[in-house]
Amino acid sequence: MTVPKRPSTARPALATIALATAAVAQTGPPGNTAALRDNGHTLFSASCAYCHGERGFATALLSRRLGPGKAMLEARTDLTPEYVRHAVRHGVGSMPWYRRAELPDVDLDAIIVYLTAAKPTP
Amino acid sequence: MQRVLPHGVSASRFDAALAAFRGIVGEAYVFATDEDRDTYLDPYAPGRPESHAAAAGVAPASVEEIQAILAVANRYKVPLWPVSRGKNLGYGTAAPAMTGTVILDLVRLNRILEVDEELGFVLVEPGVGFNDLFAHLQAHGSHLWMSAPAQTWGSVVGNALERGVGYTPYGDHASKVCGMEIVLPGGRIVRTGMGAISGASAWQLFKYGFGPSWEGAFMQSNFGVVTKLGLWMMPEPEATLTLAMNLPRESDLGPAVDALRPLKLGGIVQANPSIANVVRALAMKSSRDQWYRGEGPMPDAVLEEARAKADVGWWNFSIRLFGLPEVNTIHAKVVRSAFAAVTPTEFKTTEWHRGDPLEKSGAAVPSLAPLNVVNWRGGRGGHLTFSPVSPLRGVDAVKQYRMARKRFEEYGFDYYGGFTAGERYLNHITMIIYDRDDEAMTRRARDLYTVLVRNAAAAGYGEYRTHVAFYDEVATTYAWGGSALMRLNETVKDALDPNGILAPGKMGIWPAALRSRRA
Repeated sequence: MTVPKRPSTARPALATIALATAAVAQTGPPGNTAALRDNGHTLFSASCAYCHGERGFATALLSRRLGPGKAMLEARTDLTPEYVRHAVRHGVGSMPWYRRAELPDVDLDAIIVYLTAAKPTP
Repeated sequence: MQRVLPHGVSASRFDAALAAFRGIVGEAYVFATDEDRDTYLDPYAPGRPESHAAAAGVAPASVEEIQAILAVANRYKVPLWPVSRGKNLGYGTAAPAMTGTVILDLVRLNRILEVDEELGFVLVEPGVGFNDLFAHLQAHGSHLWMSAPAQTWGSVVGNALERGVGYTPYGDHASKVCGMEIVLPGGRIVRTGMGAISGASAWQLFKYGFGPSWEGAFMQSNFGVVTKLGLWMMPEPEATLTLAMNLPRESDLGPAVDALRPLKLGGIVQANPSIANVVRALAMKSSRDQWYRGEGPMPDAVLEEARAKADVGWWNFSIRLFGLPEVNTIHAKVVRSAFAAVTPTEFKTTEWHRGDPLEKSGAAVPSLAPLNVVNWRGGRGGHLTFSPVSPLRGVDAVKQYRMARKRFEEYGFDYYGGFTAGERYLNHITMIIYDRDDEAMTRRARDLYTVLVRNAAAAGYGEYRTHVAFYDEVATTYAWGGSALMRLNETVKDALDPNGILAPGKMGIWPAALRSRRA
């Protein structure tokens, strides 16, 4: 996984964390609950799926750039909490960032739990 | 990291203002960390985003909280920059004109207050997005269609206030506004038109009320904070009929516009067709390096080859007819006849009937797919929109196209553009797409924009909207009569906002105390 490029205001410490953890598959943070994951699923559908759903343009773009196996965020097993948080708050590529006013930390936390939860083995 | 402060406000005074804001909205809704500040920067900034850095953000949840925030801003002389959902992409996103302004983030005012199926209108707050409105209408089985711009992330209110456009017969969004509630900089609440009557029965039905009309003064302006807005909605038609055409030659533009004009003036075509060039068509579904890896603009021969392979035209457009199927059929015949006189190319026809999947109807449905075009040049894509207005005539379209394309290519960019036809005007919407990781290219994009504005003004054309970095540049082109219009704007500004706390610099309108900051 590539670390998103940051604008000139980048704080190196955060970028470094993302780099260090990006390639490590995780099963989600401690305290992960089904309720939180379900809430994250709902929030993902409402806030992210317009682009990152099955037919979303970002899914097609990621497929072109990273390959079909990494196109669907919901199916990925290599996303880390740090990476997702960084991508949402700082943007990736042409994806703009989300402000806390529009996506509060508590909602972002739920989305992170959902995206980084263990996936069933295909 | 160096702190960003409002102009002329000390750190301690700003801290006191932030504390007062927290007292109004709560700790959780004042956003003053470095990361918060960064999220109010323009992700597509044509240059250093920090040139338009916010000092903080404050997000109220009610009109009363907005009044209280304005009172604090007046007390501490802290400027505020209202944003609805902060998705004015290509025009600055949520970033303010003046560094150090505090963002008045209205995203939490997100109530759909009224949907009137019988009379066809909605009353909404600024935080309501097109996606939210669509979901609400669907969930309630509404028979009203919203009109929306190409990407639907943004605010219904914000888009109408910025005079955005959509693709149904209700696509001139500002013209469908009927009734506003506004909080003036001093805190007084005003309702426009019929809303000035207590218990008004026709606030969202009759635009004018009694006396002067004020809605227009609060669009693209910094005279007040719009907190409620009425918008007319189109009843779902029985059918739509779409006539799509890909014109193969560059020279087809002028005749196509001339064929379209009588159809628009005569009311045969009520939506606003957009005649998009080959690069715009390619960018919707591909990136530049799939076609060309050379320096400078894509040569005509490459464009022609890409055009043929991608099966798009040099100019591409759809005319969509809405209404009774029998009427659509008659109107389609008139449209085909008008274009048969100027091109041998034939329309591809598709029809939608009530009950068919909505995606094929021409109704606005949620989509962010147009964001894909910013990836055209690779890297972290940025885009800057240059959008002058001209008469609805082929000769003007061709003149504008040639002027713009020549400059785009001089500065090393592919001309990306299209002409959206209003009732009597063309809106020439072009996009300078650049790679933000390429500093030299970003600088060239800025320089190109400035040249385009000046060239257009010299030929009598002006922009209908611009990026926050170019407000002053464009405002100075509206200079007839010794800049009489700007003087009027400034007179109103100073009367309504004597402390100059609301969106200083918006559309080049600066309050008296900050007028020397005009670029």
